[in-house]
Amino acid sequence: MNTKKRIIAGILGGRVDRIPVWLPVVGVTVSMMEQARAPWPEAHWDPELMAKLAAMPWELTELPAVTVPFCLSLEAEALGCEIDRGTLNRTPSVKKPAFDTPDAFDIPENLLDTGRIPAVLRALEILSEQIGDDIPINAKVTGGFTIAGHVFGVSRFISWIKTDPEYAHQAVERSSEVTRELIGAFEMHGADVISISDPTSSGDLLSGEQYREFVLPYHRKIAGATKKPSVLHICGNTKDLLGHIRETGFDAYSFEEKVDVLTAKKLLGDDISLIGNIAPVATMLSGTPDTVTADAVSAMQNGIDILSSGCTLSPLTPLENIRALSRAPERYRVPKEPEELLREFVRGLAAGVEP
Amino acid sequence: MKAFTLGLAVGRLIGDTRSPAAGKQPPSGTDPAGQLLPENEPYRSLAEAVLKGDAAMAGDLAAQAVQEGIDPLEIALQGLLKGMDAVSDLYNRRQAFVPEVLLAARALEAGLQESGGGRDALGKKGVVLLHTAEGDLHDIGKNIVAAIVEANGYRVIDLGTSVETPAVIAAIREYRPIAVIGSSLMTSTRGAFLATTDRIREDGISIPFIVGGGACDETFATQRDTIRYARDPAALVKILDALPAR
Repeated sequence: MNTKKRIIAGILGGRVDRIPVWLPVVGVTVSMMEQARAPWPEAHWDPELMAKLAAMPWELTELPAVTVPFCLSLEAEALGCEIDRGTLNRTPSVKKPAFDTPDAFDIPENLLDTGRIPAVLRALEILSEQIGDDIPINAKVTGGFTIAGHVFGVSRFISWIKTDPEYAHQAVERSSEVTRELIGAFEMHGADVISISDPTSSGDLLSGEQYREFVLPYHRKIAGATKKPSVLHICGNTKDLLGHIRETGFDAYSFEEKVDVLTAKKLLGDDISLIGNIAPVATMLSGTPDTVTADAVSAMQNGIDILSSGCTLSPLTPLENIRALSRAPERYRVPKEPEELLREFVRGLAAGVEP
Repeated sequence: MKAFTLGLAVGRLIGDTRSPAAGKQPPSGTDPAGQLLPENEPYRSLAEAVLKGDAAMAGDLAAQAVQEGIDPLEIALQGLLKGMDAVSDLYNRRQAFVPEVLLAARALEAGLQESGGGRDALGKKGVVLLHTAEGDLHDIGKNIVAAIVEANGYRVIDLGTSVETPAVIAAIREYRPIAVIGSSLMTSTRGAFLATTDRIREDGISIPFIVGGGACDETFATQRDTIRYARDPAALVKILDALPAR
């Protein structure tokens, strides 16, 4: 089974020869930037550098995680937010919101020609052409709830949930239109998988009820608009949201170590593949190859479908820890399905009664 | 009975499925918010206005209390702050979330304005400095920490986001805090806390430096003996409460 088929099968809940390792989030580090000579912040704006850097996790650590863009501010910048460009080890982030109220929310007609979006589209084409046969090209798109937090300011936007629920709905509706427009464009330019990152809709900020009312309808629309295999990523403690996330329609859900795999399996069942949940800071950044392997084996034993860091890797993550993650499934066999075990048992019985 | 009525109000307020409003009635006497609110008026209504995040009501009730000759400090400490304390407690139990805390903080502010006490009236347990690491522009976690630490009796000086070391040092000299609190959501910015603590020590200042946020963990905190790690606002308050008096 080649790597691309294995990962896509894992996302869609199909048969795999071993548990895939893959990230729906970003997995590039400073040492990758140095070796590729594709440093941040330039690689956020230059499509050639972006593509070169995106391929580095695979080239240097055998981690088949090829994801662009590298940050969550792509959409906010295109919508008019002031951006801090970031540094070699820090992603660009939103400095100032763009709008005061949802009525003022203006989506540029030429959205796809705005800000860094053309660079991402070109990078997807390059990656698709160069390694797209072997490795799935992952396009990361920011979810509507997080975009709304960026363009209106998180505190102001989140307060609307209580003070002006209609405003909150309008804000997420408009922002989700941006998410959907980008998904369509990314799919046309070579993305094999669409991963939606929506960290502001985390259970650390919202109750399950608030997720159901202000996020779920828009996640459903986004999942419905995605033609390629789709992944939802929300970091933090999302236990209270899982029952609703099951209804989104995404093919897979990526989560952090704050949710244990057994709980996720229990609440999501087989409706959505589980991706995760090795701690990005405590294990991937601060741990050792041995602790990474131990956590990875535990996640696989508990039923994770795709092994991954629970969130974007720190740019300072040691390469040996990423290699340990890539190699962990070699130490673990995919458990057989109950039907297969039963057939083996019956075959054994049949063999036993033969003369 | 009072506690149950409030339980219904809180249930509607926070829209939580575990609340009585969703048809699940708590055993008598276990309503968390009800237990935390003062018994006597006008303090109970003041606290309830903050708990509900009703800024207009908190302001009106505070102004009325002043007219009735009640000491602004009492209005703040016995009324408004008790409401913030109740929200903070519900937040720690995952029965209130960020929208509720933000609104309660806004109602607290409105009440303090109207009573004329201002934030200086708070903070009987001491002053703390709050900031996000240099380069880190995320403020939502910091804002929640500010509200909850304030609800627990500390005066919070919020230095804002992406704060450089000299500004932290200057604020320590100006406000004489009992602790510095730093929040970081990006691992590439948390290193700023090490640089800041080193500079604080070089300047001959001894002060606990408590860090939190998604980018921090216990391992990071072990890099300097003055740094402590708090995994959430409740843990932070515990650390602050255990600090020796200065």
